[in-house]
Amino acid sequence: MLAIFLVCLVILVALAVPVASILLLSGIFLADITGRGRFINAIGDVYWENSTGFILISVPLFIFLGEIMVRSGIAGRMYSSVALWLTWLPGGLMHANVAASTLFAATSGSSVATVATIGTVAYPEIKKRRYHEGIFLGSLAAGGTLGILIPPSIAMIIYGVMTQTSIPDLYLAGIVPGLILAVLLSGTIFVICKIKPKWGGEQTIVSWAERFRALPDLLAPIAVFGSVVGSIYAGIATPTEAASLGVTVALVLSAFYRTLNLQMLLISFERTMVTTAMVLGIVFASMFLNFVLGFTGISNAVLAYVTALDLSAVSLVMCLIVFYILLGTFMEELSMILLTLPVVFPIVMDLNVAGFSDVWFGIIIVLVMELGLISPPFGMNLFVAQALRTRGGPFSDVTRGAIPFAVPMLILILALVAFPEIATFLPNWVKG
Amino acid sequence: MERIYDHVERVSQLASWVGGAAVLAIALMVTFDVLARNLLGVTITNAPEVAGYIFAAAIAFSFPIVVIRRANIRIDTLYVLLPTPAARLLDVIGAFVLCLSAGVIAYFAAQTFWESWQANSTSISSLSARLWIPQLFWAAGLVLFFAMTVFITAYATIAFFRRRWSDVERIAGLPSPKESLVDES
Amino acid sequence: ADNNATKFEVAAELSSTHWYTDFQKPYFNEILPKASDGSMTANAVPFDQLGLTGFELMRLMKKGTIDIASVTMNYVTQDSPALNGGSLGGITPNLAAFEKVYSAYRPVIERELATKYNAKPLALFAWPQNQIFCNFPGQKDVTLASLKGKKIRSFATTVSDLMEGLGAVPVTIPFGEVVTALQRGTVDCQSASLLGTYTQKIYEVLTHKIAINLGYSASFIVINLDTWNNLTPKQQEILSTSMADLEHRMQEKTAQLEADMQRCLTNGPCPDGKPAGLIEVVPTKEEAAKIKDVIENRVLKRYAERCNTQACIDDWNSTVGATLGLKAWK
Ligand code: NA
Ligand code: NA
Repeated sequence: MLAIFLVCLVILVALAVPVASILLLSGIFLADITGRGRFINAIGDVYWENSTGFILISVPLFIFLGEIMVRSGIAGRMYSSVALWLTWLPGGLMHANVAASTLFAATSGSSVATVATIGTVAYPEIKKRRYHEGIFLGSLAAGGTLGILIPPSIAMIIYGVMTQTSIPDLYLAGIVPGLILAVLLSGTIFVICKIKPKWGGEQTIVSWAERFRALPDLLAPIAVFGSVVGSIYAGIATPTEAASLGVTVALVLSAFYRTLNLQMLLISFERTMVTTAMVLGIVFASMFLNFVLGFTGISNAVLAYVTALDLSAVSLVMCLIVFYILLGTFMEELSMILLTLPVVFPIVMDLNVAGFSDVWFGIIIVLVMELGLISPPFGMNLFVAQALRTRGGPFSDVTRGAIPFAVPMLILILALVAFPEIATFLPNWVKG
Repeated sequence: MERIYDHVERVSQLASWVGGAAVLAIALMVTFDVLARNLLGVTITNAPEVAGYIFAAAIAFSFPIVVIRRANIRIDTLYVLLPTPAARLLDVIGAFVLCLSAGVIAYFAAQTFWESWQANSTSISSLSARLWIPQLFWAAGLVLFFAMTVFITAYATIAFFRRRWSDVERIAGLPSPKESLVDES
Repeated sequence: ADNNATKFEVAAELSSTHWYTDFQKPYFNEILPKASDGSMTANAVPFDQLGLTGFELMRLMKKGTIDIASVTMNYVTQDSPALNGGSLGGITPNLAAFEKVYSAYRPVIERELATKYNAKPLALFAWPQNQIFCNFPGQKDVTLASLKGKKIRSFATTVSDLMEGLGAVPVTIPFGEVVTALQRGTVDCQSASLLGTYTQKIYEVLTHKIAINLGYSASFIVINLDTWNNLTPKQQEILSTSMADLEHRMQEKTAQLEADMQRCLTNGPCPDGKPAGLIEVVPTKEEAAKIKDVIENRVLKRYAERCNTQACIDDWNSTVGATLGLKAWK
């Protein structure tokens, strides 16, 4: 049964059928072959509930914010200014992508919103400064995964609620691994561009005077970013609300620069909705598939098999990580966690290994989700990065460009298994 | 048929503008709500709930433009290696499968609306919104989406059998990098 | 009974709760099959594992997509204000009152579920009391008056009515943003069950526990009526009896959890972990009178308005109202 299902999945993928359709039809097919045809009736309700839920609503708001910043020229001037400082470094602006994603992650709980926002703003620079398109998009997709590791994080909220783990502790635990990952991603870019200098964009010689003269161009983006971060940390708005404030501030600034007009708004509307609808079409279909998969008990059966192997604590954790990496290649990450966590979490807690705490495992889970977000063929961040390409191009550019960035993620996961303190020392220290 | 295609494109674009405007409206409404709460100490608009309803309809009306701009993600590993007629055949198959899924979604969305209408369901908040109202807009968007995929599939199929490969690609293919006509800036 | 072997598809309670792990999971996996000699088995999956939010459960129940579901009534009032009539803000002072109210109100619930959702209640259980929890760091002398003008996250309309009556500003923010919002002061307080506030460790961003009883959230285990009617009388009887036993055991657990959580959230001793150390604020006599006034003149009035029909109001007054000595009026 599982075999038939997987064969059909592979055929549909090979036929280059739209991903959203593959997921929806898989759900219907699976319901049918397991004698649960009546489950198909849930499609309307699952789509409606997810369409109105808060988790996704910040996605179009942040994409729209990015569009306004690009079309009002704020983003272009910001990049020119930042480029003056970074052009000597192998990888140039790609480091700025990672840094911007890290900062943005502190305002957004979603990886998709992070890639879409930073990516919208950065995409025009590929052509302008002759970067290698694949690696550049890969750095955006990988940087975007920081969105769920650096607090706030939707993934951590879901993990916290499902496992009764402290969400404030998870938030604290994500900070250090988040910063380490950001440095590792930057290091990966550095190494790649040391080997292939051509991929790292044009290098120009600039004077310090030029650099300082361009600094005022950073004021507008700082104002937009400040309104978003500031309103969250000052307790004025929740993260979703802060996205709305950012949009309002960007519009006001755009009006101030006299770039706000109907034409520009309409283009922004269209671009925002293309990306949002594409992403959500996939998410909704995944949620339906998740609903059907949950009743079939397939994931539980696989996990029961793994635990029956009677492995040592570390081997079992490594097995689970491999299981998640495999699952993450073809499953939407949120569904993956919803389906497996109620079974996996008690297994890991029953190991009774000192460092393997609920908070630590939460960070491991977030990291395997991040890996899933950039692992082909089904990686949500890859899809978003692809959707940003107004000039088009094969999807394989993005998947190939993202693969090198799986290395630092794997390194960090292994480091966390060896030294759980990387995640847990900060929450432990804060609590005294 | 080309003239109908132009109309479909136009309508899809208009629908996406409506969707985008709705997102802008959400942003302004939420901003207003946040300001009112912090400056006046009142909650006025039930913003999260209303935002959810507007959002649902905005996405539904934006599915067509995804098809028009060929932004649907398709795993093209094998696809890019195929000779033109075979790749165009995959385009037609892709359009057909998409049409099928759009039909399924539209059908069940209409059913959800119909159930709310019959039960006169209201939301749980103090707003007590009649659920069928937002669901009507949402379902209407999805029905429109289905209708446009029916046309796209029909058009692509006809073009395929007339061996007009470039037309098939333009309507239902994957955008290739050489079409860098649109400047993003 | 073998000729009518039935397998139920069940959306069970949240995976992390006692209701699922200690009661519903063993019930559906072992107790029910055993009690029915294998003529009734179940595939029970916690609804969060299915990616559902709870709001769509009753709609799926109505269509017969699932056979049995464990549903919190707060999610259900979409189609019937009457369903929430037993859980209005602050009306039930303790679990004993809650049980009395629901035994009086059960016929109304039965009828509402049957007509609106094609469903039948099999078992009922309460979550430990809802109260108000605040983040007032360093603030001494917190009283009921301290809530004036404060932003409180509300989970149900009827609770919002009560909080408005106390001069607070009820705010509807999604559950997922509550922790950040409390931490940053975007909202000052939350209204929630003692249970979730402790087990989800939300107390870490809180300082005060305001011991105002906001009432109990009721959950039901419901079955689709078509599924029910397809069972043999013998099967129906086994299901009813074993569910009544499950209900009894779950209610006992509620009483125990409520007592435990009261202590866990304050200074202990706490059997479930370390005490949260929240400062408990108990309303004075005058404050209690003020709350009672808000319930009688605001909460019940608003409920009567939402009721729409006089029949809905009369039903309430003759059952819940008569039990508690309260009257809903427009
Ligand atoms: Na984040
Ligand atoms: Na993946």
